[in-house]
Amino acid sequence: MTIPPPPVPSSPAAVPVAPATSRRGFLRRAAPWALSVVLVAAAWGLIQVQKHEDAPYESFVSSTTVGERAETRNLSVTVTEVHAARSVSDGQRWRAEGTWLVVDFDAAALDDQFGALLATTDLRLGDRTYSATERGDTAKSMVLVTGVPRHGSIAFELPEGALTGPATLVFATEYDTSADGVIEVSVDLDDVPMQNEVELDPVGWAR
Amino acid sequence: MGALMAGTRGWWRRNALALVAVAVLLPATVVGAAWWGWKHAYPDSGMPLWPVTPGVSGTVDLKGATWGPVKAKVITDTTGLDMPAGATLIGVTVEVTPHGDKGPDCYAPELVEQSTGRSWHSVRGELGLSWSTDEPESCVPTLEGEKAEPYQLVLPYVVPEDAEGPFWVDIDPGQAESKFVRFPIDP
Amino acid sequence: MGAECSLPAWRSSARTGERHALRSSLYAVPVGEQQEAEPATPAVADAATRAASEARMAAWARKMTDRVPTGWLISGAGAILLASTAAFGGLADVPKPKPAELHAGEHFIGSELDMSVVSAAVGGEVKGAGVTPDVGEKTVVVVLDVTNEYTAPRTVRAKDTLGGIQLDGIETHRYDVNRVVDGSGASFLQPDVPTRVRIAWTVAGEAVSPGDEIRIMLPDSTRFTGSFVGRGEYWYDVRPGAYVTVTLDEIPSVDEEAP
Repeated sequence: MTIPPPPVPSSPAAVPVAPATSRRGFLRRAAPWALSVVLVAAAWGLIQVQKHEDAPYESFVSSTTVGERAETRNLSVTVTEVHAARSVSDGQRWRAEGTWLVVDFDAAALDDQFGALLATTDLRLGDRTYSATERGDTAKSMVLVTGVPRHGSIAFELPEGALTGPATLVFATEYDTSADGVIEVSVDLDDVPMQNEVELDPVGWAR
Repeated sequence: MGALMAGTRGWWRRNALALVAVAVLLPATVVGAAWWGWKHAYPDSGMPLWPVTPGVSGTVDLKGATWGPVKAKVITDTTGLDMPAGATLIGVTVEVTPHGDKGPDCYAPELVEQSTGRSWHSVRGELGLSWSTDEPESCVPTLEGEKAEPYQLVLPYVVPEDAEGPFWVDIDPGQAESKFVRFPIDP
Repeated sequence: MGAECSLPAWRSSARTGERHALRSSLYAVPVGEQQEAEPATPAVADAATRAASEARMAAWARKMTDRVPTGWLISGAGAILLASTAAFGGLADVPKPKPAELHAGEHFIGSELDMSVVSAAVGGEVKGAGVTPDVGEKTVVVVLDVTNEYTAPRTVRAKDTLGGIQLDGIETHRYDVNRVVDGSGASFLQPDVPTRVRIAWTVAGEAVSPGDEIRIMLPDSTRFTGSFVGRGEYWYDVRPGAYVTVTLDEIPSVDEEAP
C-alpha cells in the first residue's frame, strides 16, 4: 500500500517551491531515477563479471604436453613417455592385469627441498578423476631434490574401455591444491598404442 | 564568559586522577601488548629466524651442544655412487659435541645457496648409500639410560651444476628461541 | 493540527526546515531567514515548535501503522504455514527405510559403492590377512567385491566406505583391508574399477565358530557438497544400509593362505 507523504505546514506561501514545469525542476526530479537505473545496471554487470564462489580456491595451472617441461611453485615436471597396457609390472615382484596407463616422468623441486614430495598425481578423464595406484613399487609420492630431476613411473588403474579421448595428468607437491600451483599435462589417449605388458621404470636420477 | 572558563578548569581538576591514570596505563598497555605480541611472533614462534654464526673458533654453542667445526668439499671422485649427470656432489661434515647427558635434536641440516636462497637436504639414500650409525645424516637421539657422546654429521648434498658458492650450512635445533646455527662455506 | 500552530507558519517551517530539508523541497528554506533577532524567549519558542512538529509526526506515524492490517497478516501467515505443512506431509520424522536383508552374492549400493559379499570365514592366525589375533582371539575374514560409483577416488578405510563395515553383534578388535589379487594394502578405490578385497577383523574366540551365521552390516550415507561455509565432498549420516547373512566357513590352519 502506498504511504502518503508526511503532513505539510499550512500556508507554505513563504516557502519557495520550484515550479514543476520548468526544465531545471524536471532534471532535478529525474536525477534520482536516472541514478537508480545506472546503479541497477551496474549491479547486473558486476554479477555477470564476478567469478563463482570457489574461485579463490582454484589452483594456478601451468599447462604443457608430453615431452615438455613445466614449472610451478617449487615443482618442475617433464612427462617423458605415456604407455597403455593390459598388464604392468614393477620390475620386482609385483604384476597386475587390467586396463593400465603408465606415465614415465622427471620431476624436481625448484627452491626448497624441505618436505618436497610429489604428493598429487592424478588423471582427469572426462568427468572422472583417478589417482595413481598405491599398488606395487612406483614413483607415487616420490621425494624431490632441488634443481636435480628424479625419474620414475606411476600407473593408473582404469575401468575397461577407458583408454580413449583427451585426458589431463595433474602433478603437485601438496595433496590439497587449493590456491596452489599445479602442472597439467594434456595427453590424447587415442594416440597411445595399447601394449601387452609394460614395466615401470625404477625410481632414480633422471638421465 | 568568565563562568565558562572556570567551568573548563574545574573539569580538569575534577578528573585529574582519572587523567593521570590514563596517561600511565594507556602507554603501558600498548607497550605491554606490543612486547608480548612481538615475543610470541618472534622468539617464541619456534621458527628459525636469527642465525648464529661461528667466531674464530669455528664453533657455535646453542641448545646444549657445541656445533662445528664444519668441513665442506666438492667431491669429484664419485665412483660407486649413484650420481646423476650435470650435478655436483658437495660433502659436508659437522662435529657435534653435546654438553650434557642428552644430545641435541635438530631438523635435517640444510645447504643454502647464498645468492638465490635455494636449499637442499642431504641425499644419502638417493646416492645408493645405506643408513649407517657412524655417518648420521641428522642429529643422533640419545636413548634411555645412555649418555650422549660427540659425533660427526656426514652430509652428502647433490646440487645442480649451476649452483654457485658461497653457501651456508643451516642447522635448526628446534625451539632455540628462533635462533639457529649457520656456517658459511665455500667448497 | 491548526490549534497547535500558534506561531506563524513561516516560523515553524524555519525550525523544521533545518531538520527535514533533505526530505522534501517543500521544507527548503533560504539560509539566513531565521537569523532575525528574537527578543524575549527564544528557548521557549524553539521548544514549542519542536514539540508541535514532533506531535504531528507521531500522529502521522500512528495513523499509518493503523492502516497495516496486522491481524490479517498474522492469520494469513499462520494459514499458509498450516496449509504448506499439510501439503508436504507434516512435520513428524519421516520413518527411515529399513536396511535391506541380503545374502552372499547380492549387490547393495551404499555411499555410492556397489558392494557384494562373496564369502566369510573364520580361523586362527591367517597369513596375509593383515591382522594378528591375540591369545584367545580368532580372525574373521570377509571377501567383498566393491566398485566405486563416484567420480573420484575414495579412501578405503573411512567410516562411510569399507571402514564402516561391521559384524552385527560381534565386537571387533583389529581391522585391515587388502586386495585379494596381490595382497597389497588397499588405500583407494578408483572410480568404476571393480576390486575384490579381503577385510579381516580379530574377534574374541568364543564369539564365532565355523558354521555360524553372521550378519555383515554394509553402511550407507548421504553425500553433501560443502558450500558457503565449507568446501569439498563429505559423506555424512553413516547408517546401516544392508545386512548380509553369510555362513562362516573355516579357514584351514596357519600354514595355508586365506581364500
